[in-house]
Amino acid sequence: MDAPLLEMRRLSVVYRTSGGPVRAVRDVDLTIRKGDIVGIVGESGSGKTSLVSAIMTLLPPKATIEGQILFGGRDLYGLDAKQRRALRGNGIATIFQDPFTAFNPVTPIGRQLVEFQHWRRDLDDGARWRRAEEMLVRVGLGDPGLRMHQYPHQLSGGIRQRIGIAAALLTDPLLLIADEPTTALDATTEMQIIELLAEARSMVDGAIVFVTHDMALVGAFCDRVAVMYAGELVEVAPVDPAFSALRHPYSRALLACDPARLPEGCREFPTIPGHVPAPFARRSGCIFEPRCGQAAPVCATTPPPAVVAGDGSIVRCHRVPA
Amino acid sequence: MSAPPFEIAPDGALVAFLRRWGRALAVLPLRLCSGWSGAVGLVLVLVVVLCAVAPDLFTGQSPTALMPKDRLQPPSWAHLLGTDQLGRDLYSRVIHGAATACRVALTSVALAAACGLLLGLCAGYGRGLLDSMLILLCDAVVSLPMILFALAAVALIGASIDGLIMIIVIFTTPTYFRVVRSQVLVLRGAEYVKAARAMGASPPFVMFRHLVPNLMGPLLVLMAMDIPAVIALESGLSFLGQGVPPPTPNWGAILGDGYTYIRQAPHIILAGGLPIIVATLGFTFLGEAMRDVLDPRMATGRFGDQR
Amino acid sequence: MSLVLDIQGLAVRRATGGLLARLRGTGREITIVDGIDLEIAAGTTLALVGESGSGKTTLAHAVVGLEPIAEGRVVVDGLSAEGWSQGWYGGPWRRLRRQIGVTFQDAVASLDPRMTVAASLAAPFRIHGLRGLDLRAEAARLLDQVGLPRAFLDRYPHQLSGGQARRVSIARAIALKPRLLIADEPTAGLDLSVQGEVLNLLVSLGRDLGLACLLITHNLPVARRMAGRIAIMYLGRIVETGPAEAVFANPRHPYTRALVNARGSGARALVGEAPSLASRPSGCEFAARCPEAQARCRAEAPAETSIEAGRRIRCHFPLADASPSREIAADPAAGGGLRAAAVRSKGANRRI
Repeated sequence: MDAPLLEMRRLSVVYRTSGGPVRAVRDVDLTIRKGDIVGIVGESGSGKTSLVSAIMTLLPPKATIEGQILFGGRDLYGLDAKQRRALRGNGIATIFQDPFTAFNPVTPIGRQLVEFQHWRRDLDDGARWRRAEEMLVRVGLGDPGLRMHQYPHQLSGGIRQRIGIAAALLTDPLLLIADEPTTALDATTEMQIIELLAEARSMVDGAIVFVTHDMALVGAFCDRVAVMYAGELVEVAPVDPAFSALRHPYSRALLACDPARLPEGCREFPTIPGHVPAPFARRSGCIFEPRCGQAAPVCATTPPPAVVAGDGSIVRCHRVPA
Repeated sequence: MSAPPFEIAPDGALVAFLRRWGRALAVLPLRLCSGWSGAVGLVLVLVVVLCAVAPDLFTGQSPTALMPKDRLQPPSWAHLLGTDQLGRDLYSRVIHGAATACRVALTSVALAAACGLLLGLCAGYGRGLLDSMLILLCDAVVSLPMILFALAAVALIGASIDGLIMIIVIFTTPTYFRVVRSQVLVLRGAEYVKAARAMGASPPFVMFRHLVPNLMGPLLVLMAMDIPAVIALESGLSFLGQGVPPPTPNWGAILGDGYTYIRQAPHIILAGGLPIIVATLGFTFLGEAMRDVLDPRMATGRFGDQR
Repeated sequence: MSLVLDIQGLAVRRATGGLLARLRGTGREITIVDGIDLEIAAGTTLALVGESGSGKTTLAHAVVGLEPIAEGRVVVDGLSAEGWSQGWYGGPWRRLRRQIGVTFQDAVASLDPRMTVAASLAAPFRIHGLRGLDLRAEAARLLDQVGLPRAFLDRYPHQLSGGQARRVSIARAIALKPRLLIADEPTAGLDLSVQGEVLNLLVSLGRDLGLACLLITHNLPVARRMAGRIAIMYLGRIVETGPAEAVFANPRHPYTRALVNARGSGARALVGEAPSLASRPSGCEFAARCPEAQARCRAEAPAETSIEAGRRIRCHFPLADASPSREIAADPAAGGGLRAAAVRSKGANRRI
């Protein structure tokens, strides 16, 4: 078995603030191998944005890492700036949430797509142009010749996101990170993009990380799901249409909140009472305990152990039997 | 956690108004002194204002007493800044000149800001024909050369303090008008303005309850930064002989005299220039500190406490 | 049953091009919303569903006189108004607005950042000149009604979370006991785990106060559970209206079917995207993306017709009255169509 593509060992992201250090991400252990499609699900305050920024090595200056992120066996934060930059265009590609700002507004698309391939020194500009045009066809844009000469503001959100996917795929990434790629799009356009991403997995010789707050999208697209709550990774489990493998109380409560999954005749919308604890108000014990419907006295005092199953799934809960 | 400086209580509009501004004025100086420039500015401005309101604290001599025998004396213990060509004590002239400078500057800035506020509100909120006409008027005024116009006006109606104030107000209102208007255009599309209109608020209600409180910050900063410019302007006009009429003590006039007698008595220029520099510096520092204190709050609406 | 809201033939247009273009006569008018006929009976909820650019927010604004009405009129509880709010006090619009409460998409931004919660809640009373009331007590009562503690009276909008701000804006909207509440995307920007709070509040207020509600949303499952009737908008026109359950179980317009099945099984994604408002196609505006489009659709724009009691549709060839399509809620395989696509492309990928 070769080395995992991406491995996070006890990863924490700490921000320096005027009120003291704030841990946006705490002790995350996650392993992603080639061919995986992993969804990272979390609401606001879950730390998923910081986690993804840490993987992309694009954290703001006042943030530091504790623990390790290993990419292909190499410690990402042990590399110097030049090596990290080389990785960002080459090994790790990102599709961003906002297709409206991901592109330079004053340069035509074609030129930008050619520039994204600047690591391919074996190709000249003409070859890169042709490669870009082929990729546009593969993401479903009918007339690539026209698109290559257009400016971002002339295109709609759905088309821009397709081009964003094309740009990411052009770099032949080992790791493709899709950071809430459909949040800014309508439902019908969202479906098109998800279908496109599903086809794109055959074009990615590596792994895909799909970050979202929408559990239903994860169900449509991913093999495994990692659920984050208030900076901690509370569960990692395989995905099936009924999400039967999810056992953590938060995961199940979050699933139950999806209005599309409500049983018939249910007149009240379920919620999770309470609110996410502020980063500087952490307590001992389980992070979810104040809002958990199944909390036991032990949950308030001791942090839950990580129960690791044979298929690699992890649950951090006292109430889930090993 | 200190209380935010602005608040509208749901009772007694006047009481609310006083409470609001009273608290703001009390809290502001403390925040301004957090940086050295703000503290320096505050101190200088206080000195100038004190000279203006209570000149007798600083000097016992009269600024207008003529002592021809002592004309053009260099600085000495009797006359800290020397005397001018008519034998008047320059130090007391400088101190009393602060009153003139403050009166002209503060009055004209306040009037210009008030006019600019009203016109800018009408133009920005009403848009359409009224807006276009006001912009045209504003551009016309701005394109007139102020100094020449001032000289012509003085030639027509004679020199006086009120005339000077009027001229300055006419020529500085367009700046306030533009700033207020552009802010109103932005705020007009804000959700809370739409919400108020959806509830049935009339335009005056929206303008004075919602727009003005959100405009006050940038406006106050502009006013503070404008005062040194007006002081310099007034001094310039007086230097040309067309400003405040004699014998009222006036920094620009002193500077003018110093220019005439520069060979015999170079200390006069010092007496005239120094207070202008001090006042300009003080108000500029104060204005910048105010901008730092008020503006970030304008942008985000936060008063230092996080959720 | 008496109608709280009756919109008749409403159209909203906006002129493009600057002053010079208009003087020259080359300025164009784009139609944002056209031919709207909607009715809401007392105490019922109508969900207005559409994607971005469909004009649903513009329609809501036109109902309260924030947008100029080019054609048609709005009748609220017998009070009728046309044109839009002009003049110093707005004439008929002023009376009409007392009967309507509005909550906006961005709840925090819809509260004046310089006013405390108490002041914002007192604003409706002040605007309508209701003096002699203890405004602070009224504000406290409103907070109780929406389930917020009285300590919030002295907080500022930036000190509220998204859900709390939304509840404050709902409190403000019901302050004068209106007959109709317009809720524009009540769950926008809220986490899934707190959306229920706001929605449950709207349901209970509707029940307790006998409030009619115009719910604007793009979230179909929410619309289905909250509304008795539903109207689907596409590019500024209503393409289908009817009882919520019937429309979901049995959509008759191809666009409605696409929306209903967007996350369901057997779904086929629509091709292309909605055309821009500036270049509306002739004929049926949905024809370019419609899987059932025929020649007549591209030539002639369909009018709104009634196909059953209480159901209206704007289509030349409504879908057949089929057996209920797979319902999203009852089907745990939500996303099955996409799932199938994912499975197809997986190939020999290893499973951990």
